[in-house]
Amino acid sequence: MDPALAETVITINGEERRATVDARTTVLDLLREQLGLTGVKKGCDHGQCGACTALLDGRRVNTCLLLAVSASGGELVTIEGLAQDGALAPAAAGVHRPRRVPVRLLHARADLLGRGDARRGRRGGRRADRRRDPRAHERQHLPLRAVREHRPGDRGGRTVKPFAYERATDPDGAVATYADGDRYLAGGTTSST
Amino acid sequence: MKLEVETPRRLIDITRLGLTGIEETTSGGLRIGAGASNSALAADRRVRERYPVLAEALLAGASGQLRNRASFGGNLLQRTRCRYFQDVGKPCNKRTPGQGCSAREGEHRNLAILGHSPACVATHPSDMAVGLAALDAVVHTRAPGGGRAIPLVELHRLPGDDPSQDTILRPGELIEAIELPPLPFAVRSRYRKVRDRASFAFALVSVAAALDLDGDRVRDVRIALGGVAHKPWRATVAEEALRGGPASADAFAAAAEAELAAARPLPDNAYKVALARNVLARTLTDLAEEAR
Repeated sequence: MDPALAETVITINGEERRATVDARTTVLDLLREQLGLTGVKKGCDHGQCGACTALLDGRRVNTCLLLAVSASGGELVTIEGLAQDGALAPAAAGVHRPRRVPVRLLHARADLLGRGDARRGRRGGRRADRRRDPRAHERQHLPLRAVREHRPGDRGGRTVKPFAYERATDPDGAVATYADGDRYLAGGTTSST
Repeated sequence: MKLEVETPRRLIDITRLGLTGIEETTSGGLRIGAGASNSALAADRRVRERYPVLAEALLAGASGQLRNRASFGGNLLQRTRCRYFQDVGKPCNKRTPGQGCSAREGEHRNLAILGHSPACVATHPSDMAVGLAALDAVVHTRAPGGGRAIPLVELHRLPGDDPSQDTILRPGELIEAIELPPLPFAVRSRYRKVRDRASFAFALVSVAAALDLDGDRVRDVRIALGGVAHKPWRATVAEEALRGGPASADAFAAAAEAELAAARPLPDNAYKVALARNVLARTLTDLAEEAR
């Protein structure tokens, strides 16, 4: 297997999902691009806005800063996981009172909210097509595409450079396997290369 | 890595080494595994009761989501948020030695006033490390030739003429645990952070302080400053000035003044000198009032 590819197995909303990913893939990109779970959003993609938040092993985390390979073995719950039979699960409903508002009206003036989807259907063509594609209104900017398309020497956009991924299981192993040019994930080292 | 500041050939994931324990030491301190999360540590009862300055510093940093993932060791090894370090299109001696420093003549409002060099005026971003610096924490490492114990205040370097090195760690050296020695008077300790907005921002200036009083006199004191230097700044000058002296607002102000006498601010961060002085004096005054 290509050293930049790796297998990851994550339990997502109670279901075990297996995927072969480029090691650069974040959990956010895995969820949105490969698994079609678009409840997590890509806002800043740098851990600041929190739009990509999900629960990993019961704790909220930024999925944009979490490598899919590093989350392997974990249990993830996204907003989709709070649904039960098409409605908000009872435990979640205790916290969040359900209210349905079309996404495109969330930022509209309050007096438009009542009118809701009255305008739906009046327009045809591309706009209607966009509505049918649930992800069309939130087309992502470069990083998503770039992770898939990045080639060495490609300066088309700011991207993560490819790297090989390895998981250490004990401290001595981590130290023994270290070589020049490596970095530790979650623990860093500021060695010169 | 997303900014291409770091481009490793290989990434070794050390999040599952089992180094997450928080244990009592025989001397009465705590030994904290480098993999313990910032949120677990901030919630630990022993940390909150015995070292409140550390719990406060942890909670002053980042967001809930980040604290759940941030490890104790990783927090110490954060890299500077100087905008020129993060922008690979701009010269930066820390990122690429010899390129020159863009911050001196550029945007440096958030950068260092103490211990900087012509090569680099970056600050260390961690809040937690400032709390640890005040508590005389010791970093235990593991390395191919054997591990070592490094006082936290010696872990991070001043930039000098080689700002590319943030710490004295050698290639491959791994932080295994951080030890907090017993410091009974740290039950009265505090972390105060000043930033541009109320939360989720890096410190302009921060103060970690613990105060031990003997009546109206200072028996002992620990002070560290954040947001002012390339490393957590242990305020030894102020500590020395205060030990055995009066615990008065005037004495605190004079000690803060003495510590900041070494400051060499740049045009746009001169405000930090007065800010650090005042926040330090105020924090010590508050601690003294609470003790009475």
